[in-house]
Amino acid sequence: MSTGTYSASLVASKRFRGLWLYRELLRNLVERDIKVRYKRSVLGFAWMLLNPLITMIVFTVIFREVFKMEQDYALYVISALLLYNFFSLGSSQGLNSVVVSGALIRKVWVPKAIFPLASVCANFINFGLSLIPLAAVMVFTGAKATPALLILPIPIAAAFLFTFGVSLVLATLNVFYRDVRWFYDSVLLILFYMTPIIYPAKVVPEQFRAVLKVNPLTWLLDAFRMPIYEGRVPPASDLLVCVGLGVGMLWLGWLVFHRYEDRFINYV
Amino acid sequence: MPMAGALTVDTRRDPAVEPAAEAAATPALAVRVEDLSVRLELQKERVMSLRESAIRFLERRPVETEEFWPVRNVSFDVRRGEVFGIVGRNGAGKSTLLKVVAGVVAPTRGDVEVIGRIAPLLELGAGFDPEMTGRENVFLYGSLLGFPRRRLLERFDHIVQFAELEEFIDVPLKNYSSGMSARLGFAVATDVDADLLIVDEALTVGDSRFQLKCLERIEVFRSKGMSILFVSHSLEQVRRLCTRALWIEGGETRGYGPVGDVLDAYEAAELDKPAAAHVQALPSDRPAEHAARRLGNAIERVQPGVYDFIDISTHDPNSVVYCERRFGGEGLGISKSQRIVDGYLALGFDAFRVDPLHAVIPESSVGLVSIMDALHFFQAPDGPERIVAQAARWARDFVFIRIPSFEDVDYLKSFGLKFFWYDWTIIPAHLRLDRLTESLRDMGLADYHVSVGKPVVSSDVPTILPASAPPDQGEYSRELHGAKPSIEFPRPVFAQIDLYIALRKFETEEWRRIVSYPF
Repeated sequence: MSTGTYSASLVASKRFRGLWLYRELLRNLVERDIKVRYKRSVLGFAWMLLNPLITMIVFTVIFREVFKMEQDYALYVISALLLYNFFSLGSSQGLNSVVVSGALIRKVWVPKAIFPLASVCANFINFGLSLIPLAAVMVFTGAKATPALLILPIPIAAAFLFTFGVSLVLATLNVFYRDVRWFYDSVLLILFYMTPIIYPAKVVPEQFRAVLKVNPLTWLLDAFRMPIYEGRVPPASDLLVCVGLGVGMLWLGWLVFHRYEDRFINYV
Repeated sequence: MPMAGALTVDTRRDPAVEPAAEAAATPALAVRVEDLSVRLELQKERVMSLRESAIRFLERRPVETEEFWPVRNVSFDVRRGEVFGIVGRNGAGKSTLLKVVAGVVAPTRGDVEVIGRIAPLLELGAGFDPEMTGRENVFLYGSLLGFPRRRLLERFDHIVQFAELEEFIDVPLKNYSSGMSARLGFAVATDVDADLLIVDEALTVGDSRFQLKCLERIEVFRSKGMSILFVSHSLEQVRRLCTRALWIEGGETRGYGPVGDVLDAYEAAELDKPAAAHVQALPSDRPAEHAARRLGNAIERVQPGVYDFIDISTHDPNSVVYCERRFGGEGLGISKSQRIVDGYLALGFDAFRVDPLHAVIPESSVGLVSIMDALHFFQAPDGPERIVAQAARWARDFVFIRIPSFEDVDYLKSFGLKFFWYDWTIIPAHLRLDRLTESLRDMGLADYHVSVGKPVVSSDVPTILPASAPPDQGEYSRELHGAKPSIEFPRPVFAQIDLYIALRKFETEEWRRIVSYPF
């Protein structure tokens, strides 16, 4: 009995080209995600700007007026928080994306990685728009816009790849074990406090610093925050770590996802 | 982008493997399936928890999966420009076979080659989003099938025209009747230059006029040299449309060749049915020659006179008791859920576990079929209609349907109140009475009677809760749900609607007696 050329040659080639061939579907899924989210709201897409803006105003006021922190401490928190929110929302929605598309997966062939990718992209657009109010906060807190900002696309791209990679792994696990979704909520909570978002790394006692260093989010967030908050370009080695994390995580996620993809149909 | 976005399979094979002479001798192929077997993993419990698998792992016990081979050593090919039929009973493996060809299920062993672009038409409207408009859904569905946007833009007017939805194309899909969604789905999936169209029972939806239109379009497809893989229960349709056919049973080939030969053999075998291996015996003291039996999805030998009614239930087997009291006679319960089936049996009724959507029961087997508080749990876009169509086939006299009244939900909400069942399920928009009756007319079931239950004139009844009560509640209790505003409604509200669909002529008096049960 010969082995399936279908599963070997055909599916492999579809995998590589699949996401590109189905870019139209990706666009429609992302569009749907955003449209459905703001449906029936009076301000509609304006919320994509308003939401982060309101968060930022609250943070700015709290840190300046209530805690009497340094002038621009709000900026320190907000910049990291934006990227963290992209990661946490993107990955947790990506985690669910394959399971909620079960009805489709059972009926039509599409490259399944498109579902996590669409979740990550929709949140990425949200993140991109929130950079506008972030710029407003920079002006307001008197942070200087320096040429260092031009380096931002590197940590942002790395964060995108990293989030997509994490989504692929989580989405795969969630197909087989639905507990993952609930477990991940707790993981995110722990991650939030294990990453220097609302506190500076220097307040962490020496013996715990290593914990921050093994947390990939610390690297990504720091590289993103430094040009905004300090007006400095992060060291090349830090940027390299970010790119490595992004590419490595995506590679891992891609491998895991496609290793089990063919079995999804039995479980979704 | 020459072939942007479709399942395009490169079929150039190594010339060393396949001599050119052989290729010239055989007719051009659209699909080649060789010695295909498919194994599915069936887990005992569909979803395993982390804890359970951790325990299994620690105990070095493998995960218990049942192996199931829905398709074994099947070979066939579909030539270019041919309509190829696949026949077989429910559970014979037809759907799995189609899914492998469509690329949804990977083959376990054997070769599957599909030459060209596939337009799968597996279940109409599966890719639709109810929140979005018809227009947006055309593009969403089209892109799911891998059609480029440019192509969809070009064909858009034609698609909408074929679906006869010009007026409604900017209306959200949740406001469509199921017939309308089905029309849109068919129009999108078939309005493309695909090389292979896969049609799985899809032509059983929509009214008969639209079915005819679909059949015409299939003829056009064939005349243009496209291939069609066609699965249908209607042997008549298969005979009319197909040139060759494959008959499978239990996943194995029983016949393959010209459509006439294969169907003759199939029909002969059906008439002379051998005692089947997977018969589920009824736990009943009924004489064997009377009892119904189940084979796959098929419930056979429900002879006229054995049962008087069939009760379809999704959540509460007590409906069968209600029907027995009200209409009398011997009842048979069917449900997809083992819990409900056990409930039926405990109540002393015969029952089968079978998905009512796919159950095959001989026509006019019983007097009436009742569907109480169950219709809204069939959540597929056309689920409720398909169930009603099934029921109308099985019954001779009438179909009895009871649904919660979705009509007054908004009215109650304006008083800060809700029915206790309100949060139980997502209510499909087309189950509102006006849409449901519109669908009934579409299906040619125009002779129906609607009666609303006892009018509720104030909020002081246990079926009404304050809107603030959490979901999944039973009837009102002050301790659980807090205070409830006491309101005399300006107009009465109705908690339920009864629908009686007549399947034959009734004397006025007889019909009045059936529909006017004192609440």
